[in-house]
Amino acid sequence: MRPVLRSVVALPVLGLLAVGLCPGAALAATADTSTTTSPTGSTGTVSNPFCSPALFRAAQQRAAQALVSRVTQLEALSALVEAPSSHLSPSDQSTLAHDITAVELPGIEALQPEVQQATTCPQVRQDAHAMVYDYRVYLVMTPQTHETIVADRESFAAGRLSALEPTVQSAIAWARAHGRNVTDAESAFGDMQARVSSATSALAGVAATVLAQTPTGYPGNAAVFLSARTDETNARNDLRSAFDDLAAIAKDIGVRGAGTAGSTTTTAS
Amino acid sequence: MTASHDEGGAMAHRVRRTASVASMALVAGLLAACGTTPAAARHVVRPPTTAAYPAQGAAPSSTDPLESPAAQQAVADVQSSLGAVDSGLAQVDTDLSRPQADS
Repeated sequence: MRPVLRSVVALPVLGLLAVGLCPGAALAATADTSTTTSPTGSTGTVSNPFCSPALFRAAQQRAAQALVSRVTQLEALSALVEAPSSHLSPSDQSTLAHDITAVELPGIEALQPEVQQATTCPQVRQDAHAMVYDYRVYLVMTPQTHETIVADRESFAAGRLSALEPTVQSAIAWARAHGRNVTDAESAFGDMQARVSSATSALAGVAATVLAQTPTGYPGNAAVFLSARTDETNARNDLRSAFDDLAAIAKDIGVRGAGTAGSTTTTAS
Repeated sequence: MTASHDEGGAMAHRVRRTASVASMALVAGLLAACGTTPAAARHVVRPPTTAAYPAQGAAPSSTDPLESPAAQQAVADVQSSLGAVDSGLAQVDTDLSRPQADS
């Protein structure tokens, strides 16, 4: 097989473009490729050479595989959403669970028999178009789920750190009362409070904004996901710093307290 | 010094050592999460808990508040959450770098 011809046929065998996984090809789903009329109207050229009758089975199989992959992906996302360790807020968990298991999954699964029963390229292409454009499993549902989980996990961590602040304050006071120099600990505590506050601000509205995105909003909403990632990264950095502060406080109190505690216990025993 | 006093002192010493090791492990874990080397962490000693002074009958209020089970649980929660956030953000990076053709 000549190289050029082989390269032309290789992709169709994969069926990638044939079944509309590429949006450009998917747009052609409405074209009837059983004719020899090209999108430009000229004749004598197959409108989409990637789904000819000879390649129909390969295209059909590729579409079926793509659907199976999406079912697997959605099931994985569903498992993440249901996992308690995701620390999703009840409302966010409910929204994601509904979108995944009541909209996306049944929608993709409904396309599976349709693809299996298709007998023409246009039918396969139409199903592939729906698979991509109606559900956007990889480009919307997936980042939407992951980003929401990250945002809620960060909110959970920020909440835990915030709840610890009175305890840390008490610990510093406790150390001071035991004769320790807590200057550094107090400074670290101030930074810890500021970092937690900054992280909380960065996360405000992120999950809600991400959850509001829909498959039909793509590619316009790609910028929303990028912006959310930036906010989440900033929040993560703040939370890391806050946790570092907490460790520094514990270390500071511990190191300075060791000598005092040791002399005290030596006397006591 | 009586024999029973020596015995009590030895027991208190053992208890203090156990408490000290446990406290060091706590802080070592805390610092490890922040990138501090274990070697550095070994030099850190937490203030003793009331368990270190059973013979004195120290009141719980004299315990370092950060030693409380609730505080330790909160620290562990934050630590595990931050680890999960890191892996979650890595996953998001993968999601957002996915080619459009693979939609």
